[in-house]
Amino acid sequence: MNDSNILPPEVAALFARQAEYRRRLARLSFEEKIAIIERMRELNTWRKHVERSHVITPADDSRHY
Amino acid sequence: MKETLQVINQMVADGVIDGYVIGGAIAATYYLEPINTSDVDIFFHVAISASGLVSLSPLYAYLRERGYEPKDETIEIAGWPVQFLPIFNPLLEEAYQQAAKITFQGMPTQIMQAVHLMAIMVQTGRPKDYARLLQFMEAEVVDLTTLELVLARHGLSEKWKEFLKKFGVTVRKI
Repeated sequence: MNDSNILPPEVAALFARQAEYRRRLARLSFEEKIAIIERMRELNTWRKHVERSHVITPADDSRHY
Repeated sequence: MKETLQVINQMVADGVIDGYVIGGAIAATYYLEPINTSDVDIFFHVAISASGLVSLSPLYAYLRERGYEPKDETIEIAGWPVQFLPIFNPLLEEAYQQAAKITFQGMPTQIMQAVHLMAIMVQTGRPKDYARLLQFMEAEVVDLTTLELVLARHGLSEKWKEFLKKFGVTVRKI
């Protein structure tokens, strides 16, 4: 069965747009794709750094209540 | 990446390894959209010592002398963790022998063909391999008749059928 038959039209459209986006990425040159991966790695490193450096303290928590 | 490949090519020129082929997510990225990966997989022939032991010591020593330090199971070379993996079975040997010769920013290098990457995914059979296999099939980058010949040659036809059945995939040959 084709997924588009059972999915709401807006969700099917979203999947179609996502698939087209992935096809466009796949058509990039190898150099461009590696540059994207290098950027992903930088963001991963940054995210891990932030997670490690920001320890939640009771004082931080109290601000939310 | 260019500098990383430059160092690895120099390892070949200096006789530390006799050649190499890039596999894993970086090779898959050549055929698909960019894949979020943390390292580069380099497949090469491991030198076997006179006593019959496999040793990566000469490779590590060579890289250490040039300031590249091991980190977990990888060696960080010019910003990229590189995992050196031995060619240990006939499928990897075929992937090495039939590697595609490409250039990256003018730097010559070798990358596994898509058909071999797919066959290795069938052989390895981890959930992430199956997920990536589906990506390759969706992208229609490989003639599945060719893939099935490779799989048959390496005794993987049954595993392939199991994969197709498990994921309800209908083979559409291009």
